Amino acid sequence: MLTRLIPDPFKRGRVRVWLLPSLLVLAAARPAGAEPCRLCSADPGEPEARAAAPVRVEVEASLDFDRVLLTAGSGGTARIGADGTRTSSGAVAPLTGRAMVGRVVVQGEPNRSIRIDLPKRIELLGWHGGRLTLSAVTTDLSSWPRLDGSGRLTFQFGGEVRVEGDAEGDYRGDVPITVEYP
Amino acid sequence: MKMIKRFAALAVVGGAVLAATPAVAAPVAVTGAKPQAKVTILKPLVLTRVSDLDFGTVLLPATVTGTLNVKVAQDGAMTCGTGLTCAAAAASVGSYNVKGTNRQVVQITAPAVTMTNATQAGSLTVTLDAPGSVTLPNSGNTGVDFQVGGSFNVDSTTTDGVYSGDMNVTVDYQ
Repeated sequence: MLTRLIPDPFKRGRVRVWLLPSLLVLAAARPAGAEPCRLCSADPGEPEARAAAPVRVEVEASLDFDRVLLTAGSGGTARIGADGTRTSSGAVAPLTGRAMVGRVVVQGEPNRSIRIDLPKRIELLGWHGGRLTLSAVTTDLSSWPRLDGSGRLTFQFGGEVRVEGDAEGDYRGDVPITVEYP
Repeated sequence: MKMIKRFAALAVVGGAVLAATPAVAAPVAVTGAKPQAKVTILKPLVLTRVSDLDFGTVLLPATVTGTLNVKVAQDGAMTCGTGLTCAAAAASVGSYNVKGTNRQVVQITAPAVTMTNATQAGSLTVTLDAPGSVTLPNSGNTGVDFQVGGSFNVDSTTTDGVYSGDMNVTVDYQ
């Protein structure tokens, strides 16, 4: 709320205070959860508030299970951890050395907190029809990810695929990742 | 009048400040190629014998000089070393069928075979002649056939008799 002291020409020695209606509207219109005022003083935990560098997100590697070999009709599960570990269970042979964890690079304002969203489940579509589900999607991000001193953060993501005995062929799906400054 | 004017001026400034407040930043998606998850599921390979490799009857000369070779190629053509008499019509190439996932390349391993004489001491080593790989043209019960030929040598120490041995051909996805 901004006030301006305006001398009252009709009442000398006294000062009348006016609350400007436009600024009252400004205060009322600020939506809940809106980004803090960029002209305001900085939060103690954040660098000085100013126009932040735009955030960019690029993929370095897709999550690739390579070839998953069924050893029996009962099916099984193939997993790639966010740390790159490869495991399999059930009637699924060990994953090949070409199976790769996904890797993404985020760039933006140095030392700035960042919020990264990935879905927990993704549908993979087969070239000749059929669907598989990539579930238990995990990342190696900390609870409060933050860009480093050069404005960069690299993280990995993995997941698991349950394969039934009658599945075969190539399957793939997009992994929607969004990033923003909190 | 002056006060009203000044008030109006302040109201305009307030309105300008309101308009300049930046909008809430929207989430940013991946630039360029989107990250993907991908997997290729392969059915188990099934290898089935279709026919045996048979060199038929090979007639040795009274005296074998040096080392003589007998061969059945992948296309079934038979060749006999000089001095040997081979019944090509009775020979046949070996054949296998492999089933698996469509469009996958399958590697074939065909190690040498030791044929042993059924009635006397003696053995012959057969070097198999098989394709290095085949590409599956389908999935399911049809699969694809491939042929396996071979060759062996005889010399003056070779004993007569019926020789046989098991072929240990294996396949794997490349």
